[in-house]
Amino acid sequence: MPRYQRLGLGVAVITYDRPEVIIDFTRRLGITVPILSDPDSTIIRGFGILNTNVPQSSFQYGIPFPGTYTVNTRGFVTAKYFEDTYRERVTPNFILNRQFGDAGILKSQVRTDHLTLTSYVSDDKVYAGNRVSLIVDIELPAKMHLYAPTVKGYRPAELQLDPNPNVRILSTNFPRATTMNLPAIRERVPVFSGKFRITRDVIVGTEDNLRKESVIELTGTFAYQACDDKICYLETKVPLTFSFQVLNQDIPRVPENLRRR
Amino acid sequence: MIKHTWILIVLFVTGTSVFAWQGAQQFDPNANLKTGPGIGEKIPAFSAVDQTGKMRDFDSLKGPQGLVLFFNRSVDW
Repeated sequence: MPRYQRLGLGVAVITYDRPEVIIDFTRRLGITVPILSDPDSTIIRGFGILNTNVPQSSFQYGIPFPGTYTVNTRGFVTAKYFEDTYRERVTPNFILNRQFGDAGILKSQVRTDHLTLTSYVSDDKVYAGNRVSLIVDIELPAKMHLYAPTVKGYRPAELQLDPNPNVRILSTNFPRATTMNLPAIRERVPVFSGKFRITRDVIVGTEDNLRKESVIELTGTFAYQACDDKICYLETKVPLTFSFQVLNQDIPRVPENLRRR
Repeated sequence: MIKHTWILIVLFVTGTSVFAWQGAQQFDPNANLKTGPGIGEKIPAFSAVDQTGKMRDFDSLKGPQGLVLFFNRSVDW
Protein backbone atom coordinates (compact mmCIF):
# COMPACT_ATOMS: atom_id res chain seq x y z
CA MET A 1 0.00 0.00 0.00
CA PRO A 2 2.78 2.49 -0.74
CA ARG A 3 0.38 5.01 -2.27
CA TYR A 4 -1.60 5.14 1.00
CA GLN A 5 1.51 5.32 3.14
CA ARG A 6 2.91 8.13 1.02
CA LEU A 7 -0.24 10.10 1.77
CA GLY A 8 -0.03 9.35 5.50
CA LEU A 9 -3.14 7.20 5.56
CA GLY A 10 -3.73 3.99 7.47
CA VAL A 11 -5.77 1.29 5.80
CA ALA A 12 -7.84 -1.53 7.27
CA VAL A 13 -10.52 -3.95 6.16
CA ILE A 14 -13.29 -5.43 8.30
CA THR A 15 -15.21 -8.57 7.35
CA TYR A 16 -17.51 -11.02 9.10
CA ASP A 17 -15.01 -13.87 8.50
CA ARG A 18 -13.57 -15.81 11.40
CA PRO A 19 -9.84 -15.22 12.11
CA GLU A 20 -8.77 -18.61 10.66
CA VAL A 21 -10.43 -17.75 7.32
CA ILE A 22 -8.64 -14.40 7.17
CA ILE A 23 -5.32 -16.01 8.17
CA ASP A 24 -5.64 -18.62 5.42
CA PHE A 25 -6.61 -16.02 2.82
CA THR A 26 -3.86 -13.52 3.66
CA ARG A 27 -1.15 -16.20 3.86
CA ARG A 28 -2.06 -17.65 0.49
CA LEU A 29 -2.15 -14.27 -1.21
CA GLY A 30 0.59 -12.49 0.72
CA ILE A 31 -1.68 -9.69 1.92
CA THR A 32 -0.32 -7.55 4.73
CA VAL A 33 -3.01 -4.90 4.96
CA PRO A 34 -4.74 -5.40 8.33
CA ILE A 35 -7.94 -7.40 7.91
CA LEU A 36 -10.00 -7.41 11.07
CA SER A 37 -12.25 -10.30 11.99
CA ASP A 38 -15.78 -9.42 13.11
CA PRO A 39 -17.42 -12.87 13.16
CA ASP A 40 -20.35 -11.82 15.34
CA SER A 41 -20.80 -8.63 13.31
CA THR A 42 -20.45 -6.53 16.45
CA ILE A 43 -18.52 -3.79 14.64
CA ILE A 44 -20.74 -4.04 11.58
CA ARG A 45 -23.84 -3.54 13.74
CA GLY A 46 -22.10 -0.74 15.64
CA PHE A 47 -21.67 1.12 12.38
CA GLY A 48 -25.32 0.41 11.50
CA ILE A 49 -24.51 -1.27 8.20
CA LEU A 50 -25.62 -4.87 8.83
CA ASN A 51 -27.19 -6.17 5.63
CA THR A 52 -30.69 -6.99 6.83
CA ASN A 53 -31.69 -8.41 3.45
CA VAL A 54 -29.90 -11.65 4.25
CA PRO A 55 -32.06 -14.25 6.06
CA GLN A 56 -30.74 -15.26 9.48
CA SER A 57 -30.73 -18.88 8.32
CA SER A 58 -28.13 -18.09 5.64
CA PHE A 59 -24.39 -18.50 6.15
CA GLN A 60 -24.17 -15.03 4.64
CA TYR A 61 -26.06 -13.52 7.58
CA GLY A 62 -23.88 -10.98 9.33
CA ILE A 63 -22.28 -9.32 6.32
CA PRO A 64 -22.29 -5.55 5.95
CA PHE A 65 -23.42 -3.43 3.09
CA PRO A 66 -20.04 -3.09 1.40
CA GLY A 67 -18.66 0.41 1.70
CA THR A 68 -15.67 2.53 2.58
CA TYR A 69 -15.13 5.39 5.03
CA THR A 70 -12.33 7.88 5.14
CA VAL A 71 -11.83 9.05 8.71
CA ASN A 72 -9.67 11.87 10.06
CA THR A 73 -7.24 11.39 12.93
CA ARG A 74 -9.91 12.34 15.48
CA GLY A 75 -12.30 9.66 14.25
CA PHE A 76 -14.70 11.79 12.24
CA VAL A 77 -15.93 10.65 8.83
CA THR A 78 -14.61 12.85 6.03
CA ALA A 79 -16.15 10.89 3.14
CA LYS A 80 -17.86 7.59 2.49
CA TYR A 81 -18.33 5.45 -0.58
CA PHE A 82 -21.30 3.11 -0.85
CA GLU A 83 -22.72 1.98 -4.17
CA ASP A 84 -26.38 1.37 -4.95
CA THR A 85 -25.47 -1.80 -6.78
CA TYR A 86 -23.64 -4.41 -4.76
CA ARG A 87 -21.51 -5.58 -7.67
CA GLU A 88 -20.01 -2.15 -8.21
CA ARG A 89 -17.35 -0.64 -6.02
CA VAL A 90 -14.87 2.20 -6.17
CA THR A 91 -11.25 1.07 -6.05
CA PRO A 92 -8.80 2.14 -3.32
CA ASN A 93 -6.87 4.10 -5.95
CA PHE A 94 -10.07 5.86 -7.00
CA ILE A 95 -10.43 7.18 -3.44
CA LEU A 96 -6.80 8.28 -3.30
CA ASN A 97 -7.16 10.07 -6.56
CA ARG A 98 -10.53 11.69 -5.95
CA GLN A 99 -10.13 12.67 -2.34
CA PHE A 100 -6.44 12.93 -1.63
CA GLY A 101 -5.05 14.33 -4.88
CA ASP A 102 -3.02 11.29 -5.85
CA ALA A 103 -1.97 11.78 -9.48
CA GLY A 104 -2.93 8.36 -10.79
CA ILE A 105 -1.10 6.27 -13.37
CA LEU A 106 0.35 8.22 -16.28
CA LYS A 107 -1.01 7.32 -19.71
CA SER A 108 0.16 10.05 -22.08
CA GLN A 109 1.24 13.64 -22.47
CA VAL A 110 0.39 15.76 -25.50
CA ARG A 111 1.37 19.34 -26.37
CA THR A 112 -0.77 21.32 -28.78
CA ASP A 113 -0.36 24.91 -29.92
CA HIS A 114 -2.50 26.00 -26.96
CA LEU A 115 -2.00 23.64 -24.05
CA THR A 116 -0.35 20.61 -22.48
CA LEU A 117 -2.64 17.67 -21.82
CA THR A 118 -1.58 14.84 -19.50
CA SER A 119 -3.85 11.85 -19.10
CA TYR A 120 -3.96 9.35 -16.24
CA VAL A 121 -6.13 6.53 -14.97
CA SER A 122 -6.79 5.85 -11.28
CA ASP A 123 -6.16 2.14 -11.97
CA ASP A 124 -4.70 0.31 -14.91
CA LYS A 125 -5.59 -3.15 -13.61
CA VAL A 126 -9.27 -3.67 -12.98
CA TYR A 127 -11.85 -6.23 -11.99
CA ALA A 128 -15.45 -6.48 -13.08
CA GLY A 129 -17.56 -3.92 -11.26
CA ASN A 130 -14.69 -1.55 -10.48
CA ARG A 131 -15.43 2.15 -10.69
CA VAL A 132 -12.31 3.89 -11.94
CA SER A 133 -11.44 7.43 -12.98
CA LEU A 134 -10.08 8.72 -16.26
CA ILE A 135 -8.12 11.88 -15.52
CA VAL A 136 -7.09 14.69 -17.84
CA ASP A 137 -4.83 17.44 -16.50
CA ILE A 138 -4.67 20.58 -18.63
CA GLU A 139 -2.02 23.24 -18.38
CA LEU A 140 -2.51 26.50 -20.28
CA PRO A 141 0.06 29.25 -20.82
CA ALA A 142 -0.56 32.74 -19.46
CA LYS A 143 -3.46 34.62 -21.08
CA MET A 144 -4.84 31.45 -22.72
CA HIS A 145 -8.27 30.12 -21.73
CA LEU A 146 -10.75 27.41 -22.73
CA TYR A 147 -14.49 27.69 -22.51
CA ALA A 148 -16.45 25.89 -19.81
CA PRO A 149 -19.44 23.64 -20.63
CA THR A 150 -22.09 26.29 -19.94
CA VAL A 151 -20.70 28.75 -22.48
CA LYS A 152 -22.86 29.95 -25.38
CA GLY A 153 -21.47 30.86 -28.78
CA TYR A 154 -18.10 29.16 -28.32
CA ARG A 155 -16.95 25.54 -28.37
CA PRO A 156 -16.92 24.32 -24.74
CA ALA A 157 -14.29 21.91 -23.45
CA GLU A 158 -15.52 18.34 -23.68
CA LEU A 159 -14.04 14.96 -22.71
CA GLN A 160 -15.80 12.72 -25.18
CA LEU A 161 -15.56 8.92 -24.99
CA ASP A 162 -16.59 6.46 -27.66
CA PRO A 163 -19.17 3.89 -26.51
CA ASN A 164 -17.61 0.64 -25.35
CA PRO A 165 -19.68 -2.45 -24.46
CA ASN A 166 -17.34 -3.31 -21.58
CA VAL A 167 -17.86 -0.17 -19.54
CA ARG A 168 -20.61 2.16 -18.37
CA ILE A 169 -19.48 5.73 -18.92
CA LEU A 170 -20.56 8.28 -16.32
CA SER A 171 -20.74 12.05 -16.67
CA THR A 172 -17.70 14.34 -16.79
CA ASN A 173 -16.53 16.25 -13.71
CA PHE A 174 -15.21 19.71 -14.48
CA PRO A 175 -13.65 22.16 -12.04
CA ARG A 176 -15.47 25.36 -11.17
CA ALA A 177 -15.21 27.83 -14.05
CA THR A 178 -14.27 31.47 -13.62
CA THR A 179 -16.13 34.26 -15.38
CA MET A 180 -14.19 36.33 -17.88
CA ASN A 181 -15.40 39.81 -18.62
CA LEU A 182 -14.98 40.96 -22.24
CA PRO A 183 -16.09 44.60 -22.22
CA ALA A 184 -15.13 45.23 -25.87
CA ILE A 185 -17.81 42.82 -27.06
CA ARG A 186 -20.01 43.11 -23.96
CA GLU A 187 -19.71 39.48 -23.02
CA ARG A 188 -19.17 37.55 -19.79
CA VAL A 189 -18.11 33.98 -20.45
CA PRO A 190 -17.28 30.97 -18.22
CA VAL A 191 -13.69 29.85 -18.78
CA PHE A 192 -10.90 27.62 -17.51
CA SER A 193 -7.34 28.90 -17.29
CA GLY A 194 -4.00 27.93 -15.74
CA LYS A 195 -3.83 24.33 -14.53
CA PHE A 196 -6.99 22.30 -14.01
CA ARG A 197 -8.22 18.72 -13.88
CA ILE A 198 -11.13 17.02 -15.61
CA THR A 199 -12.23 13.51 -14.60
CA ARG A 200 -14.68 11.02 -15.99
CA ASP A 201 -15.58 7.80 -14.19
CA VAL A 202 -16.37 4.50 -15.83
CA ILE A 203 -17.70 1.29 -14.31
CA VAL A 204 -16.22 -1.90 -15.67
CA GLY A 205 -18.93 -4.29 -16.83
CA THR A 206 -20.02 -7.19 -14.68
CA GLU A 207 -21.00 -9.64 -17.38
CA ASP A 208 -19.33 -13.04 -17.15
CA ASN A 209 -17.84 -12.77 -20.62
CA LEU A 210 -15.83 -9.75 -19.51
CA ARG A 211 -13.40 -12.03 -17.67
CA LYS A 212 -12.27 -13.51 -20.94
CA GLU A 213 -10.99 -10.18 -22.16
CA SER A 214 -7.49 -9.19 -21.22
CA VAL A 215 -7.56 -5.49 -22.13
CA ILE A 216 -10.23 -2.82 -22.40
CA GLU A 217 -9.26 0.07 -24.61
CA LEU A 218 -11.32 3.22 -24.33
CA THR A 219 -10.93 5.83 -27.03
CA GLY A 220 -12.16 9.38 -27.21
CA THR A 221 -11.15 12.98 -27.66
CA PHE A 222 -10.62 16.11 -25.66
CA ALA A 223 -12.26 18.85 -27.71
CA TYR A 224 -11.87 22.56 -26.98
CA GLN A 225 -11.63 26.04 -28.35
CA ALA A 226 -8.77 28.12 -26.99
CA CYS A 227 -8.49 31.87 -26.97
CA ASP A 228 -5.83 34.27 -25.74
CA ASP A 229 -6.00 38.03 -25.41
CA LYS A 230 -5.73 38.51 -29.17
CA ILE A 231 -7.00 35.44 -31.05
CA CYS A 232 -9.72 32.85 -30.74
CA TYR A 233 -8.32 29.73 -32.37
CA LEU A 234 -10.23 27.08 -34.27
CA GLU A 235 -11.73 24.14 -32.45
CA THR A 236 -9.15 21.46 -31.67
CA LYS A 237 -9.59 17.75 -30.89
CA VAL A 238 -6.92 15.73 -29.10
CA PRO A 239 -7.31 11.95 -29.51
CA LEU A 240 -7.11 9.99 -26.27
CA THR A 241 -6.75 6.33 -25.37
CA PHE A 242 -7.19 4.81 -21.93
CA SER A 243 -6.45 1.12 -21.52
CA PHE A 244 -7.10 -1.25 -18.63
CA GLN A 245 -6.00 -4.77 -18.04
CA VAL A 246 -8.88 -6.92 -16.80
CA LEU A 247 -7.69 -9.31 -14.11
CA ASN A 248 -8.96 -12.78 -13.40
CA GLN A 249 -11.13 -12.94 -10.30
CA ASP A 250 -10.92 -16.66 -9.66
CA ILE A 251 -9.18 -17.07 -6.31
CA PRO A 252 -9.52 -20.45 -4.60
CA ARG A 253 -11.68 -20.52 -1.48
CA VAL A 254 -10.39 -21.49 1.94
CA PRO A 255 -10.38 -25.24 2.71
CA GLU A 256 -13.83 -26.81 3.16
CA ASN A 257 -13.47 -27.19 6.94
CA LEU A 258 -12.89 -23.44 7.38
CA ARG A 259 -15.86 -22.28 5.36
CA ARG A 260 -18.75 -20.58 7.07
CA ARG A 261 -21.98 -22.64 7.08
CA MET B 1 5.59 -8.49 -4.30
CA ILE B 2 4.26 -5.16 -3.06
CA LYS B 3 2.60 -4.52 -6.40
CA HIS B 4 1.16 -8.02 -6.38
CA THR B 5 -0.28 -7.51 -2.92
CA TRP B 6 -1.81 -4.27 -3.99
CA ILE B 7 -3.56 -5.91 -6.92
CA LEU B 8 -4.99 -8.60 -4.69
CA ILE B 9 -6.27 -6.17 -2.14
CA VAL B 10 -7.95 -4.26 -4.93
CA LEU B 11 -9.70 -7.45 -5.93
CA PHE B 12 -11.19 -8.36 -2.66
CA VAL B 13 -12.14 -4.90 -1.50
CA THR B 14 -14.19 -4.43 -4.61
CA GLY B 15 -16.77 -6.87 -3.32
CA THR B 16 -17.28 -8.33 -6.76
CA SER B 17 -15.96 -11.79 -6.19
CA VAL B 18 -17.22 -14.47 -8.49
CA PHE B 19 -18.09 -16.40 -5.36
CA ALA B 20 -20.66 -13.78 -4.64
CA TRP B 21 -24.11 -14.70 -3.54
CA GLN B 22 -24.26 -18.44 -3.49
CA GLY B 23 -27.17 -19.77 -5.47
CA ALA B 24 -29.79 -17.71 -7.19
CA GLN B 25 -30.80 -14.92 -4.85
CA GLN B 26 -34.41 -13.84 -5.08
CA PHE B 27 -33.81 -10.42 -3.59
CA ASP B 28 -31.79 -7.32 -4.24
CA PRO B 29 -28.89 -7.68 -1.82
CA ASN B 30 -28.48 -3.94 -1.67
CA ALA B 31 -32.12 -3.05 -1.05
CA ASN B 32 -32.66 -0.70 1.90
CA LEU B 33 -29.01 0.26 1.72
CA LYS B 34 -27.67 1.56 5.03
CA THR B 35 -24.46 3.54 5.03
CA GLY B 36 -23.84 4.19 8.72
CA PRO B 37 -22.21 7.31 10.17
CA GLY B 38 -22.54 10.41 8.01
CA ILE B 39 -19.86 12.82 6.94
CA GLY B 40 -18.80 14.84 9.98
CA GLU B 41 -20.01 12.20 12.43
CA LYS B 42 -17.70 10.21 14.67
CA ILE B 43 -17.30 6.51 14.00
CA PRO B 44 -18.04 4.09 16.84
CA ALA B 45 -15.09 2.77 18.83
CA PHE B 46 -14.06 -0.69 17.69
CA SER B 47 -11.42 -3.32 18.26
CA ALA B 48 -10.85 -6.70 16.65
CA VAL B 49 -8.08 -9.18 15.92
CA ASP B 50 -6.22 -8.99 12.60
CA GLN B 51 -4.51 -11.77 10.61
CA THR B 52 -1.37 -11.55 12.78
CA GLY B 53 -3.34 -12.15 15.96
CA LYS B 54 -2.96 -8.56 17.18
CA MET B 55 -5.90 -6.64 18.63
CA ARG B 56 -6.34 -3.53 16.53
CA ASP B 57 -8.36 -0.39 17.19
CA PHE B 58 -8.71 2.95 15.48
CA ASP B 59 -5.64 4.47 17.15
CA SER B 60 -3.40 1.57 16.13
CA LEU B 61 -4.62 1.63 12.52
CA LYS B 62 -4.71 5.33 11.67
CA GLY B 63 -1.87 7.16 9.93
CA PRO B 64 -0.85 10.79 10.39
CA GLN B 65 -3.62 11.78 7.95
CA GLY B 66 -6.28 9.36 9.18
CA LEU B 67 -7.67 6.01 8.14
CA VAL B 68 -9.40 4.48 5.14
CA LEU B 69 -11.70 1.76 6.45
CA PHE B 70 -13.19 -0.83 4.11
CA PHE B 71 -16.18 -2.99 5.06
CA ASN B 72 -16.34 -6.06 2.85
CA ARG B 73 -18.66 -9.02 2.79
CA SER B 74 -16.11 -11.81 2.96
CA VAL B 75 -12.60 -12.66 1.88
CA ASP B 76 -13.76 -16.17 1.01
CA TRP B 77 -16.80 -15.95 -1.26
